[in-house]
Amino acid sequence: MDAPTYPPAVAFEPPVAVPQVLRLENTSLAELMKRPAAWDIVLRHLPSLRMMTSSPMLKPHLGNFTVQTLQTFTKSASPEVFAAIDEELSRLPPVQESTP
Amino acid sequence: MTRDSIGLMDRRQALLTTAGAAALLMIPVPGAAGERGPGPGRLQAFDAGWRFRRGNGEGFEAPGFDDGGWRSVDVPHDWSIEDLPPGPAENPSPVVGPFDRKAGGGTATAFTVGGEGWYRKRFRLQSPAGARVEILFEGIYMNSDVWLNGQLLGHHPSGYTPFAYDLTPHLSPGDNVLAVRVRNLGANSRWYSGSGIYRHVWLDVLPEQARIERWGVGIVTQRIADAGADLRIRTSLADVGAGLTLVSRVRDPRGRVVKEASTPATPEAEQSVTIAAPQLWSPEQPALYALETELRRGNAVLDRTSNAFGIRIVAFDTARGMTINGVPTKLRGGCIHHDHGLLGAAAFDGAEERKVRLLKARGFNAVRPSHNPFSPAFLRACDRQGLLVMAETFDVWNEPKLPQDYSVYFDDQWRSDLTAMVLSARNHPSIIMWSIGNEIPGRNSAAGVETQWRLANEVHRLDPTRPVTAAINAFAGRDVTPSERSARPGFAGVPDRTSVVFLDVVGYNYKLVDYEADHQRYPQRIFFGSESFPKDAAAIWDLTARTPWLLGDFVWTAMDYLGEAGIGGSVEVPEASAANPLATMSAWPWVNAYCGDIDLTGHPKPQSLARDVIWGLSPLEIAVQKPPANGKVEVVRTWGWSDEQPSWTWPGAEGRILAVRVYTSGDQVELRLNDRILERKPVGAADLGRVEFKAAYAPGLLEAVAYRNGVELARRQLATVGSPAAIRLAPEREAGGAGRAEVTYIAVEVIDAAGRRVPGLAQILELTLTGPAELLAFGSASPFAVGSVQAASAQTWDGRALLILRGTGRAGPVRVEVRGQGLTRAVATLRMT
Repeated sequence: MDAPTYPPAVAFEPPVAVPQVLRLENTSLAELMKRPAAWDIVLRHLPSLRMMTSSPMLKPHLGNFTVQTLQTFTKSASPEVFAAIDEELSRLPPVQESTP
Repeated sequence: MTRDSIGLMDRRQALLTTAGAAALLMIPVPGAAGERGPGPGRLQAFDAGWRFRRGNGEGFEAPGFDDGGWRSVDVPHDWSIEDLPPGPAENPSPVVGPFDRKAGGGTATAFTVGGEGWYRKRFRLQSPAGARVEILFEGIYMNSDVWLNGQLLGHHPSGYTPFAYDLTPHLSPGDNVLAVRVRNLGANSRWYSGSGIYRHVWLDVLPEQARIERWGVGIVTQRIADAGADLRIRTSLADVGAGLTLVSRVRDPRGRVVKEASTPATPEAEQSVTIAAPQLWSPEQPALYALETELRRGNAVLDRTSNAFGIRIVAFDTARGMTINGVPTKLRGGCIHHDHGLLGAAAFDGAEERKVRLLKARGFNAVRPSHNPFSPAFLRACDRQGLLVMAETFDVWNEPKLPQDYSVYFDDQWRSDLTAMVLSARNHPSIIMWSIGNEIPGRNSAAGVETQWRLANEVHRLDPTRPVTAAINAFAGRDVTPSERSARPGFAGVPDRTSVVFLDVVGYNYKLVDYEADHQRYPQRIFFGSESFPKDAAAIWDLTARTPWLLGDFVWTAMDYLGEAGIGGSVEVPEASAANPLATMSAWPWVNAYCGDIDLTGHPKPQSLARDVIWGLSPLEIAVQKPPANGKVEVVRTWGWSDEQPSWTWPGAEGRILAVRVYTSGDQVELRLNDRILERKPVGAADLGRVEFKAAYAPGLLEAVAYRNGVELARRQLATVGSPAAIRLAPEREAGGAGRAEVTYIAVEVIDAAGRRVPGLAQILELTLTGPAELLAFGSASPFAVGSVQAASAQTWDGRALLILRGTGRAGPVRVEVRGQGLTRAVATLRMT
């Protein structure tokens, strides 16, 4: 039985982002808030997010939460609402990014 | 050295001295220094004889400053757990013991107070000419500055990593004065941190020329085969010249030399040895070897150190999960913080040892010291008792969770702090992975991904034998593809999420719902639950038992801790308010997180009973929900558990319908009250081992009988207990404990006339202590600020309290007497040796 090893890599190179369709489940709150058109859609369906995302406790974590993962703690929206938001988000023009 | 003097020594020194007894010709025994001060040798205790002042001031670092009015303390010491001065004359007072209702940290830091504190210590050395003298601090919370004889030696922001200074250039042949300023200021911690020099301090008197580097020895198991275990030893030496020899000697768990390697000394020396018929280290059989390292010139030993280690191979893959020496092993884990409840953060070895013992007794085989490096004593206890460790560095990188947290220092300090953690702890066999962060803000940004790579890569450079992990909550980011040059071997071009793309093993915080879907979508990913809600335990372990690829789980938390007060437990609210999220918000006087399986004093809580059944420690347990006040309902908090107790003593609830929860591995349960069968219920797969009965409360005997396939599996009884009648003391040891570094725990219970603990009882008890022992703490597991934890009176919680004594350095009998109104007093006599 040989011990596994975890050698260091050669150098850092930014990983390349995989193209994706904008959806709630693959987009952080921070990213949504950076796109006014997308954020407007979200707030129209879930207006309580305006207050929640301005909370000093949550602000540092906006990049680590999606609308859905926030529901673990709030449980205030239904799958139907998420589907309706996703449907509207899918109509927005795509954003080309090579890095996250 | 007499037997008594060994008893009064620090245990670590005793071990080192014993291990090295055969080679003490050149170097005096560590810690055997007389009044003239320490002589040559490593790891000489420097805990005793400090002066302390809580508060700031000018000129305290000056050698001539008169500190005669300051308190005498021996470290480990935590000023935040000490009583505060009485607050303003308000009713009620804002100050209760160490807790201040107006403290800036609020629930996060248990309403305790940090601030600035100063330590000073005078000492002399009997060091030979040419010696190099270093001081090692295992941990100071936080932002410490150290002066020797008025000369600033350095500044260390981290409150959790060890650090050392070279005293040599500023030493005086006569009196020397060390001054340490400690500043725990602002909002810097999300939990109770403690304040001060809360871990050990050591003095190393080393050869100026040619010595073993600090944390310079690393030993790893490379292969285990029929012929034995192949070990690789790497040793870093400083100022090494020609003609020196490096000797590495391996002793087996019984202390016998089983291998010795001798090679010419070089700055970076590598040696390989094979140990025949090795005793492997595992959680079940934690066999510890010792590696003695000597740097010699001829027969003269210039420097020596000893490192405990274990021979084991821990591997991870997506097919079998984790294996230890080839045996698939699930991580039965729990997260903990570093405080010791009533002791605050003071890291006494005995407290660390006890903490590990309590975890092992409840079936845990793994622990996540959250979210920072723990004390060396804790890691040694894990090695000795067989508790696997997920060692963690950071709670933040360079984006803050709080305004004054470690993010302020991250860019300047991460490399040195990470290096200190890895190099100082790499030989502990209990450590199975390194975590580079917990729920890190900004981790999904481009800069965050680069930081992830830099940290992971630095760990791989320092220790390529263990995987790197991190605890990822919520959103793991979008899919990205790493390049050949930056990826882990075999993962170039393999898409994964930004948060985890450079991690070898991934920790999931509260993501049970994602486990199976992620395993399908990212089949190459190796992962485990790095945090979970206590109430999800049955579902988690149901899945974990069915899925070889899932490594296991760490519950938040295995033990109660100070701070993050009231994230656990439950509250009673009017029924109309039950759905309001604000109903479960915590506030003063909550000071305890109260989400642990084990309470602040070491007793299992009801969720632990459920876990006992889940993990097979018990086939059957009963708990009864505390009847809510009329008109109210119980709402369990996010990290909480229903307020249920293994008790059938509910005075005042006669005739009320109570919820009786039964946890069992059986398939049917029968509930009986006073020999009358109330109901028999099946336990189906969907029940996950838990069924609930309703029973009208009547004093007497409640009994549950579990069956499997029609055969009785187990039975448990809860009897109604009588009125409080007496006090019972149960020392956890009756001899030993005289050393200043030693602690002795004494369990205190209020019992009825039949000797049964009275559950739910809160009663004031008074202590009288005589003999050579110091009262270190007297308190309970209460989640509330109920008073001092260092005074001679305490209020029981659930009929229990805990007394902790510290040795005085003198042997002799100690008499402990505890009294309470209307109770027969209890007396215990200890022999401090």
